[in-house]
Amino acid sequence: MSERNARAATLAGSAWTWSRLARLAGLMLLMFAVADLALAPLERRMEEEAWSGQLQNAPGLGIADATRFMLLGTSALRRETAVAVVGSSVTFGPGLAPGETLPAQLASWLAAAGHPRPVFNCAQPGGDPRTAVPVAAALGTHPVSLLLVEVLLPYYAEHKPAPVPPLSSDDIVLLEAASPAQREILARAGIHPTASERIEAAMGSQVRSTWRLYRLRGSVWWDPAFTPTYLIWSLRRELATSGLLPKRFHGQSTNVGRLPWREAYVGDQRPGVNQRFDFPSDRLSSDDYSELRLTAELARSAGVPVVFFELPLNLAFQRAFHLMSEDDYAHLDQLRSSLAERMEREGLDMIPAPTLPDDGFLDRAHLTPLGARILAKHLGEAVLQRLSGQEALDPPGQR
Amino acid sequence: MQLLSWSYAAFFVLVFSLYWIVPEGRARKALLVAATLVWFCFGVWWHAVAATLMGTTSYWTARWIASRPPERRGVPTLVGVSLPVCYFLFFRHLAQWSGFDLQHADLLPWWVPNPVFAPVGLSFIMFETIAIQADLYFGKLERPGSWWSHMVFTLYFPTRLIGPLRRYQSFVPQVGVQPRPTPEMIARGLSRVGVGLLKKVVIANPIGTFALFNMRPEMMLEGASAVPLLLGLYGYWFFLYFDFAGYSDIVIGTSRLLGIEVPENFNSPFRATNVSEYWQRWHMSLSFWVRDYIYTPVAIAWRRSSWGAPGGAFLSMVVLGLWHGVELRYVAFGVFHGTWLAGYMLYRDRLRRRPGVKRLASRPITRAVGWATTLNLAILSHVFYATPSFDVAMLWVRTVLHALAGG
Repeated sequence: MSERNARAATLAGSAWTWSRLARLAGLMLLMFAVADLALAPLERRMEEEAWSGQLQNAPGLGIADATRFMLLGTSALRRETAVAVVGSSVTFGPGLAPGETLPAQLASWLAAAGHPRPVFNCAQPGGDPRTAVPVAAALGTHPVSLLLVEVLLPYYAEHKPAPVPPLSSDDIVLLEAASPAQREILARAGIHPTASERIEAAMGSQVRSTWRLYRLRGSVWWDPAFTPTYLIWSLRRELATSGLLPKRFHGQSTNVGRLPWREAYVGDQRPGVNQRFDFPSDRLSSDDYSELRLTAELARSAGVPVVFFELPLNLAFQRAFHLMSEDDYAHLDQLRSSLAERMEREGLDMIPAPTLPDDGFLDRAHLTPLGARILAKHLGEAVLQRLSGQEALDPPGQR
Repeated sequence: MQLLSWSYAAFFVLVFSLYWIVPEGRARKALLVAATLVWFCFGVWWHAVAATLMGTTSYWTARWIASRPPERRGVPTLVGVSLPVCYFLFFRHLAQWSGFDLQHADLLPWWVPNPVFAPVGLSFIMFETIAIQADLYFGKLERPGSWWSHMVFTLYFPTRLIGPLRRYQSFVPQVGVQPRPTPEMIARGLSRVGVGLLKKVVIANPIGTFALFNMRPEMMLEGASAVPLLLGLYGYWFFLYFDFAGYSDIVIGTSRLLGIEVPENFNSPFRATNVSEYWQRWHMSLSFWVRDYIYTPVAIAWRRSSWGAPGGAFLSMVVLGLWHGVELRYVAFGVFHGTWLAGYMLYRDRLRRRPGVKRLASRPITRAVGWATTLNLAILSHVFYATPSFDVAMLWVRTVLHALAGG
């Protein structure tokens, strides 16, 4: 070994010392602090968007946390005048611009009607009847002026039972915000985070409150409109239009974009069987209905009025592609009346779905900007009428 | 308690501090065993009981094997290997056999053993305890150590969630022998954890969001384009690699903080130029286990047949597929890789020995073709993992073929 190599080896051997480790740790902390400061303007913008209904949850595929926890993090004064909207991807609005989703258009309509209210989009892609439960639980200590809960009829038809998915960390944070009375209600329903989940949620909340990058991470990975996918589809269309790709790439088959369904599914492009609404029975699913009742019970316990709204289904789409069977149509009608009757009997308030024009839908239920606007107007009118206008929309403390 | 969680981080910091405080030797082994039992109790308390039972049974069968002369070790080895398999099958299918209603799992009080969830790391415990019995039988391990050594090997919490699979001979001598932590040990450990976090959080998570979105059955419609589906599958493979390699890095790094080296799991699998090399680079601790405890014994048993080695490779890959779950899609994955590997072995042992073929195989262009073929076939075979069922995997294949054919 040459003298130079020997010296290099000696230096490498003594490279790590405790003081060098401490200096490195200090430098890393400094870098984190700078990165956190740089994110402050983004967070301010996101908070503004949250209260105009424009901020969507991060994609809910179990990887990125959602942004529903922001419901807990803002000033009580602002939150208590707000409307929180819970639902599935139909309410969430994948593919729509932030200002075109149902919650954003509801905020615009309320403002135009002279009752400006913040509207918070708590919907999640893949959301089901259970999605509303953690949000309703959080209202126990963080009330809003009104909870609007989406009802997608096919979820409520009796079907083969499936295992209940585990609670996400976001769900647990919201459940932990429940009031003591709500905790009793949740325990009766078998919803009780384990000790380790509670410890994790508490530690996560602590980190979230002190570390901005961690707080925002769900939203900074991908933008909530699934841009990468949307970008690929848009690029593909543009390339096909310019002649760089064959013409068949011009159309779209999954309609991730924003074309009304009659324009999206052209030529030999047909929706897959998963676009079919399945009504295996005309009986109401007791498990799914109990989630709906639990949501109402939790909201009432928090003194927050809760209004359910039925989503319009695109039956013309089902007929055009022969997706639903005649039995399905019969079951749907029966189920709709059973649900309405039961909800009325139990004092649960539901706004029936409006009829949307053909170009109001992207597919079997997802809405175009026009569809979301019509539904937002319908909801806005019904909400104002039902809750006797201004008085019912006042913060709980002022009622 | 998930590996990537705040509670795990706090738990590890506590264990790390205590580990370097308590005296070297048995006390540190006892600490790691106790820490693992606490870690199990954070999830489902009875899993700690199940893991202790599995470890203790394996210890007694290992002692039974060691007490016999080499020529009379057959029966105890058979018992020692069968018991972990029986435990595995019992716990994995407990919910099904007990007729428990999955819908009402949440309603059970905490102290009632909930059969819905199988013990964490069950398959890892099975593989590692089988390895001890087999090593004693084949003479690779002279005799089992103390109960504490056996338990610290069986239970060791950092490797319980995602591996890597360890060997008793290389693991136990490292536990509790380092007098104090050194700055180099801490730097190497923390940097490996940092690399793991980078792979998992910064690379794998965003790719995964995109890939999983594109691999949903909703994307596989009649007339759909192949581009998003192919991007989804290729993205899925890279997501899987960075996710798994990231977790493995975190485990390797945290173990280093305790002065313990655990085996590597990945070695740049995207650089493999044939399927045999691929399996020496992908999930290495599992593929080496399969090689040592399934392939080698089968190949030796069938050594008189020219199909012995390829047959052993095929069987090993099917077992490897089934390890992920008893589902048709995993069988298909195993059969695909088994056929590919057996075919490659036949080519390597027969055709490649010919001078002309050997010369051709050593050319850079042939190696480049081999690399591209291996990587693409390996990625395409993951359609069985990236989709929820065999039917959906076939739907993906049909949709892509239809689109590529211009349909």
